[in-house]
Amino acid sequence: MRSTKENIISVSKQLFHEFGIANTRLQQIADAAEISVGNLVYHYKNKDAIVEAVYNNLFTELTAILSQYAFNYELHGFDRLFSAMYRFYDANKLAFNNQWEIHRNYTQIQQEWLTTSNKITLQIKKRLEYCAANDLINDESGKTNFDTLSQSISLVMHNWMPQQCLRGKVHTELLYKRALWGIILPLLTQKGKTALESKIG
Amino acid sequence: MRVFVHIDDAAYLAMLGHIERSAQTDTAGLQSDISFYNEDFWLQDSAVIENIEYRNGEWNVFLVFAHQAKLLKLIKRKIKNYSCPKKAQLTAYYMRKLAAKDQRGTIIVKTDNLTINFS
Repeated sequence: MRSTKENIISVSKQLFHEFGIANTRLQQIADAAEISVGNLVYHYKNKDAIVEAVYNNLFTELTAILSQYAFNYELHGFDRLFSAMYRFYDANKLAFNNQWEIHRNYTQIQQEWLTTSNKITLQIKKRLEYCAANDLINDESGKTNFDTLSQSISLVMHNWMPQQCLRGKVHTELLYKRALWGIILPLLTQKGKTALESKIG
Repeated sequence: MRVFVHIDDAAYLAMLGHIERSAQTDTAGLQSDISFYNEDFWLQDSAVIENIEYRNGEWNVFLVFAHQAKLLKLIKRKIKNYSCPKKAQLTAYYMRKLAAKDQRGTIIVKTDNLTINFS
């Protein structure tokens, strides 16, 4: 059974996604969590505290995704990262729904968000460099700019789902991963393609 | 808001590089890495002897774990101290029974095994 705090965070995530942080009132959260406003205030003294708790929850999930770097290697690592990020955004749509609200009013959270997404980009860059050094990615000239490439992958990773939602199109894990692999696949060497087929299929 | 530790990009990339290298290095561990396990293994078959000493106005209960064959290989550990000698004896008796592999006390140490040259 979930604790009251967990329940509040869960319903807050849903409401923040549906109405946005600015438009969600404490009364709505209390109603959705089936508790009184007094009880809600006992657990979180104001909406800022709830927002903070919700984003702490998101950062914990993202940290778990980041820590997977050590356990998944080479191209397989990309696939695991893409899957994990899809599941993260699918479960936490508020993360992209409230980007501007967080940017305007919650500086500390925004800073942490930027740091975390930067870490993801750096992980992608490092993995690309590693794959290039192991002849999985074509880098014959030695001049491939992995900075730009990792930023492109990162951009698609963070913005594919909101764009699909805005256009009213379906979003599935397969389509998400196809969009991301579409950037890397043209760069793969024959060895890279073989390795990818054997591990992912 | 919880406090996060921030490191700059260069340090983070260097750290990732180390992780990449360490994760890819697939070498077998050394036998000496698990020697601590073997080093303590003799304790399983050791003779346990209770030992009560009067120090600083209290009776201290010690347990001595001694190797059966190599008598000079032993460990002495303090268990507890009491102001009453009877309590100390009782504790020592039960602690020995608890620690010894054979509770009847058939594993004993013979001083004859010590080959000491007194000449």
